[in-house]
Amino acid sequence: MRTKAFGFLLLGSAACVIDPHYEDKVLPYGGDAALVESSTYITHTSSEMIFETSVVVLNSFYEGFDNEYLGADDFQIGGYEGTYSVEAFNGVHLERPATASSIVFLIDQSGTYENVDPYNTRLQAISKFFHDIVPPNTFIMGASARQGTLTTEPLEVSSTVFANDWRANGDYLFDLSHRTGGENAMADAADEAVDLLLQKTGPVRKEMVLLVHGSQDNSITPYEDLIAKARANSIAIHVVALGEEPDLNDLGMLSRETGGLFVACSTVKQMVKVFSELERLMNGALYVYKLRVRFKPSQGLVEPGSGWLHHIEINDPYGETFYNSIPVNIMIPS
Amino acid sequence: MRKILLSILLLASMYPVYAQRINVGFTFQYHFLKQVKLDAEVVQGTHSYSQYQVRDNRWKFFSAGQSIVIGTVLQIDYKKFYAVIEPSFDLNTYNYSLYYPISPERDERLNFHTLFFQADAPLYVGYQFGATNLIRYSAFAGVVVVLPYMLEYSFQSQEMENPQEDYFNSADMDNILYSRSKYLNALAGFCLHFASLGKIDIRYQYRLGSPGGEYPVSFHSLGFGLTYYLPLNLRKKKIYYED
Repeated sequence: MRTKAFGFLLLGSAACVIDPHYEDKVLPYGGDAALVESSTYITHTSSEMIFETSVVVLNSFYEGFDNEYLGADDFQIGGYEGTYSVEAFNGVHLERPATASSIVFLIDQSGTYENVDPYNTRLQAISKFFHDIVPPNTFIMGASARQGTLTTEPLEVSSTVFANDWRANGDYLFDLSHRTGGENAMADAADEAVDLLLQKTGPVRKEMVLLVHGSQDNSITPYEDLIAKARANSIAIHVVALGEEPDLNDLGMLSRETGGLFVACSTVKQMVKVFSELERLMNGALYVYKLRVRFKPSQGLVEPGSGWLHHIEINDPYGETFYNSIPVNIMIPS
Repeated sequence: MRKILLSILLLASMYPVYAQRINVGFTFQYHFLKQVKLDAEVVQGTHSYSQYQVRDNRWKFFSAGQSIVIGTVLQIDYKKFYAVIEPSFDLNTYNYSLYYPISPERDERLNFHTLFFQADAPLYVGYQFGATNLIRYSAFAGVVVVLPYMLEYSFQSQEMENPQEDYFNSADMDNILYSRSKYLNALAGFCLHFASLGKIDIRYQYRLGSPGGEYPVSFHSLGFGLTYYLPLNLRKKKIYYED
C-alpha cells in the first residue's frame, strides 16, 4: 500500500511539473483522522463485555484511499480502568454500494464557530464535499439552530429539491458564515430533515450528515425518537463532531444505531481530511480495520442498559501519532 | 491576432510613405492610478474551495497596482496627424483585496498581488489640434498589444499572525484577475509635444475583455508618459501645423 501511495504521489508530482498551470482545486492541509464505521455489542457478563468495532483510518498524505498498513498492536483501546484485549483483528475491503444516495447535510449554526474553527475552514471543506457529490447521488443542504439568525427554525434548507448544484449550495454556505447564533437544536432539525428524505422513493440510499460543534442539544426531540424514525425509514445518519463540546455519547449512539459513520475531530485539520474523503466513504469502496475487543472493568459491574464510551488511539508506526481519539459507543442491552 | 498584425504590417510596408517626419526615441511611462473592478458579489477561488466577498472596486492611487514602462518609440508625422508604435517592456502590478469570513462578525482581508513582466506594443494615432511656437497639443487613441511573458502572484493577509498559506491559495485569482494569455488594451490620451525634442502625455488604458470567462473584470489605469526623440535626421520636411 505504501508503494501504491508513493506511486500516486510521484504521478501527481510529475503532473504538476508537466503542467504547472494546474486546474484542480485543493483544500487546506488535512490531518490524520480515523472514523468509526460501526460498533456492535456482542455479549457481556456482569464482569466483562465483548464488542466489535470497525474503524476507517485516513492518512493525511493519502488521497482517495484508506490506510491499510496498521497492525493490531497499533491500536490502543481505553476509556475505563480495566483490561482491554483485542481478540480478533483483521482488515476488510467493503465494496461500493450498489445504489445511489440522497443526502441531507446539516450544519450546526448555533453559537459561533470562531473558537473551534478560527479560519472558517469548514466553508472550504464542506464545499469540497458538495463538489464531490455527482449524479446519480444528490443532496440538500440545511442549517440548524434555534433562537439564532436562521429564517426558519430549527431547520433552514437551501432547497427542498435534491440536486447536485455545489456552487449554489456553496453560496448558501458562504452566506451562513455570517449567520450563526442561538442554541443547538440538531436533533429537532434532523427530525425535520428525515421528512425531506422521505420524499425520495425507489432504490436510493437515504443518508444524513451532521456537522456539530455545539455542546448541549436543546432539542425537544429525544435522540431515541430520532433514531427510531431514522431506522424505520432506513436512513443512515453520519456524524462529524468538531471540538471538545459535542456530546459524544448521544452523537455516537445516533450514528451507531442508524448505521452511519462517526468521527470526533479534535482539530480543524482532521475535519478537513474527513470532508475531503467523506463522499467516497459514503458512496465508494473503503477499507476498515475490524477489532473484536474484550473488556474487563477493574471496578463496577457491566449492567444491562448501561452505556459505555470507549476510546481507541492509533499509534502509527511510520510517523508521529496525530490521529484523533476514536470514540466507540457501546450500549449493553437491557 | 498574430496574422492580423502581420497583415497590417505587410499592407503598411506596401503603401508609399508620405511621412513628413520620422522620429525615433525612448519612452518612459508610469501608471499609478488604477482601478480593478470585479463585477460580482462573491467570487469562487479558482484553485481552492474558498469564496471571497467583493467589496472594493474603487480607483486607487498606487495601492491598486502600478505600471512602469520603458520602451522605444517610432513616430511618423503627416500634416496634423501622427502614428506611433512603442515596443516596450512593462513591469505591471495589480493589488486587489477580497474578504473571507472568519467569524460571524469578522472578515479577513486578503490582498492578492499580481506581478507581470510583459511586452507591450502600443499602436496609436494622434491629431495635433493646437500649437504655440514651442508646444503642440494633440489627442491620441489606439490599442496596446500586451504579451505577458512572466507572471508572479502572491497574497497577504491583513492579520499577519495568520498562517495564511495553510488556509488560502495564492493562485486563487488565476483566470479571474489574471491569465497568461495575450490581450489588448484600449488607449487614449492627451499629449504636449516640445518641438522635435520629445513629448509628455497623460494616458488612460482600459483592458478589452476579462482575463477569465466566468467573472467580468475590468482594468483601468491612468498614468503619464515621457518621450525623448533622438536627434536623428531620418526624414524631414517642413511641416505646416497651422495652415
